[in-house]
Amino acid sequence: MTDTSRTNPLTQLGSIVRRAWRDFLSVYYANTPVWRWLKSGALVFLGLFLWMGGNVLLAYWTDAVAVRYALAYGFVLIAWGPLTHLLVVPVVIRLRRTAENPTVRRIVRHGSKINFATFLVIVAVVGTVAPGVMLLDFSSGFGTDGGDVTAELVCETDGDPITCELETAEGVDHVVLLAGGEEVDRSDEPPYAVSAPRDALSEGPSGSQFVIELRDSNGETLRRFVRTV
Amino acid sequence: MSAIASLFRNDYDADGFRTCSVTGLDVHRSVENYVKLFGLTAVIALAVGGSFAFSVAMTRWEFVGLLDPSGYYTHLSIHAWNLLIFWMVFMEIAVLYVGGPMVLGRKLPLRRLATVGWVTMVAGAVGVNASIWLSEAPNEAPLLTAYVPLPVSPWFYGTAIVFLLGATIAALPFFATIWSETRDSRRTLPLVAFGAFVTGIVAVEAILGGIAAFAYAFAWRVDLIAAVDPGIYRQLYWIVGHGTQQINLLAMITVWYFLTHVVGGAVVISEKISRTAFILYLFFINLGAAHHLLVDPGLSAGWRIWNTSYAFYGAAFASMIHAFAIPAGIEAGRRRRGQGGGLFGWLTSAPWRNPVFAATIFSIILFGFLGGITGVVMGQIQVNMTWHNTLATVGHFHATVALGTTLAFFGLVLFVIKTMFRRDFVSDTLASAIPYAYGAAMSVATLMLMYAGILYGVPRRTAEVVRNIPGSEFNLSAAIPIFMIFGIFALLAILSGVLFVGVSVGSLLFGDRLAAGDDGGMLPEGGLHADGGEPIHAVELRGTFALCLIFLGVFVAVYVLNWYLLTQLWAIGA
Amino acid sequence: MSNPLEDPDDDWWNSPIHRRESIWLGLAGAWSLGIFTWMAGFTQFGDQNPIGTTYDVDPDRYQERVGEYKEAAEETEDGLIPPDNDVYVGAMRFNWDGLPAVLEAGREYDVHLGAYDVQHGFSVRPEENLNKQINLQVFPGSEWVIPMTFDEPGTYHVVCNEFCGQGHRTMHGRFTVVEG
Repeated sequence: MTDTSRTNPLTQLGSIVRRAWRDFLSVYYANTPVWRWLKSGALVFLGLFLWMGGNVLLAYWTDAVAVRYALAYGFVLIAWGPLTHLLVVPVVIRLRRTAENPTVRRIVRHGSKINFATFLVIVAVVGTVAPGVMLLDFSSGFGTDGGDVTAELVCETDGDPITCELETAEGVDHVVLLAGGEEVDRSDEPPYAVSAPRDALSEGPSGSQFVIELRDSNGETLRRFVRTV
Repeated sequence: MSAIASLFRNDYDADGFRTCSVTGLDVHRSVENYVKLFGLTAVIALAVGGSFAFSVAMTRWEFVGLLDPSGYYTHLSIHAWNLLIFWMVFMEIAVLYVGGPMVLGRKLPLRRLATVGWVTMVAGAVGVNASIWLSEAPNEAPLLTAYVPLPVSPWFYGTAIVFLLGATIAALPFFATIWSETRDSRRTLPLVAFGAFVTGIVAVEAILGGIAAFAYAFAWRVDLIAAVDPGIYRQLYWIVGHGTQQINLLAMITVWYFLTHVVGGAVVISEKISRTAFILYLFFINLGAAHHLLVDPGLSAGWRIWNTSYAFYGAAFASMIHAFAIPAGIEAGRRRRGQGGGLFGWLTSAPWRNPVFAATIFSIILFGFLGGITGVVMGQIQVNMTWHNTLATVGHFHATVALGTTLAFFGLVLFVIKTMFRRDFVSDTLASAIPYAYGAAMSVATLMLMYAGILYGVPRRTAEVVRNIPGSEFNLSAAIPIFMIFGIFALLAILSGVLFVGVSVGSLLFGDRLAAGDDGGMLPEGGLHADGGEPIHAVELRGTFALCLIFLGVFVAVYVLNWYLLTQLWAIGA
Repeated sequence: MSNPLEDPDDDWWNSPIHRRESIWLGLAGAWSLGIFTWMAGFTQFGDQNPIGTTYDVDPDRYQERVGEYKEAAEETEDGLIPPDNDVYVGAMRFNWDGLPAVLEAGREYDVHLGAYDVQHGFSVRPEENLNKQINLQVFPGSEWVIPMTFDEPGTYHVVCNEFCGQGHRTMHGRFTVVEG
């Protein structure tokens, strides 16, 4: 192991940086099949993280230009990362060894730089144009009147039969009363009064229970209530 | 029938032992047959649970919207119980038998208990499935947790107790082995056996908690007690609920040490550090119930903070120890035999075509980066408010269990097919593809679940909420793009699971028998041998260090991002 | 360096630790303590903590209390205006009793959460940013009082995210926050 305790910290830092750059280059150009897949996989993850993270931060820092470009970087990286390491780097390495045409040789000598520069240009363009598919929407806006189905359910459960009706009702087509999974009563007109004899109710752990469902004209459930007697 | 019987026949000597040509272990017939039995049962549970993964995923992907609500919760319950509990626990009994009697070269003691345990576990598992499937109104589907006072069939609680009792019985032969081993001689257990032992202790504590929780709920459902407290049930439940996950974690780590050594040539770089990490787990990991209760009423903040951190993050620290020790073991072992080169040559020269190796490595990476980080982050009491009961929670536990532990167990099953069932793979290419296909597809699906939950607030345990909320115009349709990606990759992941089951079962039924002495391609180049006393300082560990720094960097980034989002919320709390 | 399948050498406890592992232990240990300290400290200086007083209360009694609150509240088209600083929310199968409500931005309210029947999940987010969401568990038998101050006006939507039965997905409520 190198003994660096006696060299000055600036030199140490310099050698760490140089070593890191060499390591980075060795990983970038590593070409065995498993390396190609590992690098591509790691870049897909990085791309997803930057894309998603960027979108989230953009929701809070709406004017942050840097975030938009980081976002674009990640978005393009998801495809470009695998493209580079599954295709471009192996081809560049092979052509560097085997290419005969001098023009090809010249292109290939700078192949990675050309690839990376192309990538950055695409990122810049995408980041500026900001296509809709890249930007994620975290809103679900509409007005304060959410068009909710509102209903105030009032039930008389002391007597036999038990009865229920809706005090206020908006958006409801009809109401059914269910017990034990079977429909016992139905009402199509306000105040949507339904009733059931006590012995038709099903047994639950805290007593007899029944279900009131508010439905729309297609029979789809809008609201469901479970009541225990 | 005879095909199945032949799976349990190997060549043993007069005492019932044979020497494994891959690990060099002395394997007794009794241990091997029970490992095979529990392993096969686990794969059957996987197949059942995995089939229901299809209906569950295709319902949450509302573009398809396969099931309606009345069916969805039943399918979800069956998916959860078969994968999270039965697939895991049957495999873990097998892991205990390997880590104990098999590694120690002993016969399986108390064989009758092993049989009784298996029969009881199967009865419990079938019973739980039946009780969920046949449940009728007003009983509701239990999901995994069966939170009282939601009415769930008492048969469910009863059969779950039966399963847990069976697992306890099945674990007894393991404990008997450790007992006689350490009582007879002054030996120190090998690391794999030590890891299995700690797994076993955590398992017993988890199971006791589960029996308490289900007995409590059962007593209420059959009117032995009049009322039930939801807070108490949740506390008791999560002793087994998270306890079983800690068993999964410990079993998985034990399997990592085992498989990285056998097929990757890894060594243990520091017995002291690795064993200390297991001891830290023993003390602290049992605390880990409160992170399910962080946004519950009635619990003091101080208790929640202490418990969710497993005592100053003692257990997370232990995990980070293994996060270094295991790759370092691979790096040291491989560099020493001349297979390292540069920063990561030791990793890339490794036998990646061996699906056992690939599955183990992907399990380590994906568990750490996706599962572990999100677990610690969402376990912070304040951040939990943004994660609790969203799909992000589901994403987290799919990363830990469905990716991490499942991939490790895939590797183990494939390993056992070669070394114990002595069968070749029915297709080497398909077998090699399994960890890559499953790892990639499930990773993306898991990430999408996390994004949907934390970035869009999509809830879990809901049959429909994205495209439509009945009775309201409000919905979470902004999340539709995330679900489109999720749906596709979930399908790919399920297909990869089918590939695994197909290759496994196909190899057992149709694979060529491996001759004695044939290592089936499992051994790394140069075979297995320890260093012969070489000091650890002589070995370079730069590659592992770099990987761990990257891991820490990602951890910090995810942590900071989550905390930033939290601080943008309105003011909450006293 | 040893074999995980074999007994370790007798001096395994005294074997030296690799320098890089020691550095990693230091980093991991510092990170563990750091995140613990941050989490614990945030309960003192932070604005978002799931902390509030819990009272044991019979579910029927809580339902009555919510009923009393609704009587005392001012009814408007958009919802109830709380009579003072207490906002009552009752979770039931399958509705959020007490909602819709109209609250004032910048004012601290005591939000009372309780359930009438089974466990529910109180999950809130503003309409225009689904990112900003929080989730709290609601029990029958408990009344949890958590102070909340909403600084941004808008419509906030509540869904239930704890499985509470077949109608669980229909449990939607909302409240509006208006300028003070």
